[in-house]
Formats: sequence, C-alpha cells, structure tokens
Amino acid sequence: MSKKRVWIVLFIALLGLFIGFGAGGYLTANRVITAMEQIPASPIVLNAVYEKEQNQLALSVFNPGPVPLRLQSYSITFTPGSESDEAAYIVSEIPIQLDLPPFDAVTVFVNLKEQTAALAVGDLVTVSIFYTHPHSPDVYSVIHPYTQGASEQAGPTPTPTQ
Amino acid sequence: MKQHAEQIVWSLVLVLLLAFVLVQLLGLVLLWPLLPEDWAFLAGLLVFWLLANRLLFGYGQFIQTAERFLADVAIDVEGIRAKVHHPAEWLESLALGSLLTAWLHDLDKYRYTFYTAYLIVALFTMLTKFNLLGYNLVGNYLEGAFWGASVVGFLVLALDLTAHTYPADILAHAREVLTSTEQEIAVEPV
Repeated sequence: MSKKRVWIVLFIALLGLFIGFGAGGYLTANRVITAMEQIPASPIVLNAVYEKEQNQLALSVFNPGPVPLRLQSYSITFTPGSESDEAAYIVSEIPIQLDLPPFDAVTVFVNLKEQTAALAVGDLVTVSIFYTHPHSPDVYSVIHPYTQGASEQAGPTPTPTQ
Repeated sequence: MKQHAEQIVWSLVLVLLLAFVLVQLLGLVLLWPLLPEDWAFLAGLLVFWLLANRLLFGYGQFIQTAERFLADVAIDVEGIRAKVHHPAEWLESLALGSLLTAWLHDLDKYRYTFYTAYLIVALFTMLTKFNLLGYNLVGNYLEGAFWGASVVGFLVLALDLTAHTYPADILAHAREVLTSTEQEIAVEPV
C-alpha cells in the first residue's frame, strides 16, 4: 500500500461527503419546496384606510402563502363610538369574488351602509372577509377590527401585565 | 485464518451497504411519488453511468490485475491484449508490466470524453445558477442531472486516481524482478 493511495482515500472520502451533501440537499430541498407549496396561508390585512367621500374602507389584503386564494364576500359590524349619532348595524355577505395570487396583495373596498353619516372618531367597524382555497370546499374567514381615529400601526391592544 | 476473517468482514460490509441502498430506493419509490427533479437526477445518473461504464470496469479490472502482478500471481495476458486497441505484434513485443501500463493509458480516451461531458454539464448548471442564461425552466432540472452525474463522476475520479498510482509500483516491481533475474543469470554460468 503506497502512501499516495492513503491520501487519495482521504481526499475521495472528503469529496464523497461534499457530493452526498450536495445531491442529498438538492433532492430534499425539492421535496420540502413541493410540500410547502401545498400549504395555504391565511390572508393578512396590511392596512385599512377610511375614505370619507365614498364612505368606504380600503383594506389592502396580502396573501403570505404559495396557494392562490379567492376572496368571496365580506360582512361588516358597525359599533358606534361615544361621538356618533348612528345606530349599530350589521351588513352581511356582500359578494366580492376577488382572486388573491400567491405572495401578492389586493385592495378590497368595503362599502359602509348606504345613507349613513361618515365615521366619527371612536367608531368601530369590524370587517370579516370570507375566502376559500383550492384544497378544501370550506369557507374560512379573517376578521379585521377598524377603529376610526386609532393608529393602524398599533396592532391589537396589549393585555395589561399583572 | 486472518485472510478469511477479512473476507467475511468485507462481504458483511458490502451486503449491509447493498441492503441499505435497496431499502433507501424502495422507500424512495414506495413512500413518495418521484418528483420531476428526482427523474432529472436519475436521468443524469444513468446517462453518465453509460458514459462511464467502460471506465469503471476498466479501472476496476486494471487495479485487480495490477495487484495480482505485484503479488506475482498468474495473469490472463491474452485477455488483456484483446482489450488494448493497438497492433497485436506490438503488444506481443511488450513485457507484462509495459502491457499493463499500455492498458491503463488505453482508457484515457474514455476518461477525457467523460470529464469533458461532465464539465459541460457543470458549466451550464453554474450558468443557470448564476442566472447568466436568463430566466429558464430548465435550470433546476439541469442541476438534478448535474448531481446525478456528480455521483458517477465521483466513482470515476476515485478509481482513476487509484489506478494511476499503480504504474510506479509496477515499474519498481518489474525492476526488482529484473535485478533478481540478472543476478541468477550472473550466478548460473559459474
């Protein structure tokens, strides 16, 4: 056994590790990608803006997953604040039928009830958006509470620590 | 006794390795349908194996024969002469050690063909990976073929490097034999 052959065995063993790592990584990564592409994500409401002239809310809805979604309809629940003269009301099942492609955002215009006054500070509009995805016949929903005059960036109210 | 134990251990390791590969392949086929990328990998493996088949068996047989030559065991010389693509008269004029070296060098044309094909595939894979050919759908499948080819290329490189360490040993051994024969010849007339 020549000394050169010992070095060749060591070199080949190391090279084998790299090639096994590369080939195994390639095959595994493609399986993981294929599996991940089947998982639908819940849409996220990135931003909500009240447009006073049209008396509507513009929600930008983002699909963070790789499965295309279909926004079917929305419902709104109006809860008046202390400065409002309006009565509480519910408008349900307004069809929209919007396609939401993967990793993309669309703007959903949510019309408030007709012949109602513009939103006053403190009014709460809870928007439920109903959507479906191709892997299931079920209908899912995402609920976004919008408070007029409150900062949209604040997010949900933090629970007080005890 | 020691040799038998060695053979048993080697056979055990080989059987275990084959069983492992078989179980893995069965798992691959049974548990998950093959993805297009898996097919690309298998295609690269098969095509490059076809290209490398003569090299793999050629180098394997050469290493075995060279080991027999170094251990002074009888060798099928006619079989080797039939394998080398050179005029028969020239081959018959060669000593055994030279014939073995000629056999090794005769495999060079297959070796260069294989490495050229492999480098072309590697080059195009890298070009698609660095997005230099523009966006194309072939890139990911080409990478699969590249990894399949790499597995075969690994075996070829291993056997190639190992086989090319033997000519020096063959030369040294032939010189040793020649020296001892010369001494015998020198001693005989006395």
